[in-house]
Amino acid sequence: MSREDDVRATRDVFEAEALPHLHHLYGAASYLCADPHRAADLVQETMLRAFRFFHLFEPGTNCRAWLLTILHNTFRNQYRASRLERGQVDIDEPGPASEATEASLSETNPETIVLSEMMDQEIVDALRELPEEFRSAIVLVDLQELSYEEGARALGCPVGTVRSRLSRGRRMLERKLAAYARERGIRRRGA
Amino acid sequence: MTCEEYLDYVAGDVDGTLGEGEASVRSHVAGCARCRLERERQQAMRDLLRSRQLSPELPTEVRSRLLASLQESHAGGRRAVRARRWIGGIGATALAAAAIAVVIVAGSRSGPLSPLIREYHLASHGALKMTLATGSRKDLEDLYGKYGDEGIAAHVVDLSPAGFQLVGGALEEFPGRRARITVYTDGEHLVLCDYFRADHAEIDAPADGEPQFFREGGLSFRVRRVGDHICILVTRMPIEVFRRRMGDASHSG
Repeated sequence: MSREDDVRATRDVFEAEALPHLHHLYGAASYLCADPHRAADLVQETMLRAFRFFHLFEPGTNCRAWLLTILHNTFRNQYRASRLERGQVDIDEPGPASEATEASLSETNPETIVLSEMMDQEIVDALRELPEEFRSAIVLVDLQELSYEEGARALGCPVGTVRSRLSRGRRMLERKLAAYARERGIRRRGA
Repeated sequence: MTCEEYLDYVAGDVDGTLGEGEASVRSHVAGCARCRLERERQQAMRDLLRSRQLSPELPTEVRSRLLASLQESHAGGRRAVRARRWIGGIGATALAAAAIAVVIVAGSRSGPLSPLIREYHLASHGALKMTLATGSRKDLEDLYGKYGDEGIAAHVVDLSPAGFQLVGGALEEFPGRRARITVYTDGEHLVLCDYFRADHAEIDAPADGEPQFFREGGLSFRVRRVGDHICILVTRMPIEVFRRRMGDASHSG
């Protein structure tokens, strides 16, 4: 097989494997980026990188998880470098979310909201308000249906960290939605 | 296991991913009404997240644009194959750069400066991954000495007299050579430095070491002969500003 044929064959396999996941990548990117244009750019860069690295993809493994890993790596690199361009030479990751963002453990109000009455947009808004590390864990595991192991690879952290971020993230989200619901007057059924 | 500790395990409990060694989690929950309530609430949250369509649709025009950019990047693929056998993450840097570059500056691919122009655009779009992010010239010179092209001095130019601090360096695969691109910033502007053997490149500079300034591709360049090497600096700032800053400084590049 000539090199040209080789490249064409690679492209065909790549398109068959990766293109069905485009909308998933866009979905995940939309939770990382501030606006739809940036999300589209992030997906574009992810796909270009994925094509270049396609020889590293193991056939038979979860292609969506592999692509989401590239997406997150690309996002992290961009994030760092864009801070550089703005002259912020300190390129450390942002610190962990402050405890203040999390509903306190001592909050004991047992009232459970009727979550099923929340509108999609309210859930999306609440999720977007979570600190990035918690939001990403939820997006990857709950929305994109990755396993904890796949999520850990995408986020570049241990599995236990994914579990912890997911636990704390879902909890924060639930508390936020409860607050929305209280504003709207939705109460526990029968309460 | 305390209630506070349980908050890191709820998801595993709800999702059924706890291992054998995490039996203490279950025994705690079995005896703690508050944590059982927490688990119930998270179970409901998880079920809600998984039952709704919470990701935006991919707009048709975005999809078309993505497909077009993939087609366009196709030409870059052959270069990437050649660069594949690099060590670890260093190869990744070059490949990612080559891929994205095709999209960013289509139409200015031919000149000897175009790889460097591409690198600059990558850096300014936040897409240039440093092989080594460091403020230490010594560390970067070690890296260049180890992995750079043989025959190219590992020397890292000191731009601190001109007010630019070292940010890091990227090893990149340029046509015919492995380039080492050094990145500097003064907090407002970026400066990239490429450094290579004078007999190697299509770019030359006067042997007396007099720096040459010119504009190309919307960027300002400063080219200077340093012994048997050429040092090229590139930045977006206007040429007269750049010249003044460099001229004021008695740096070693």
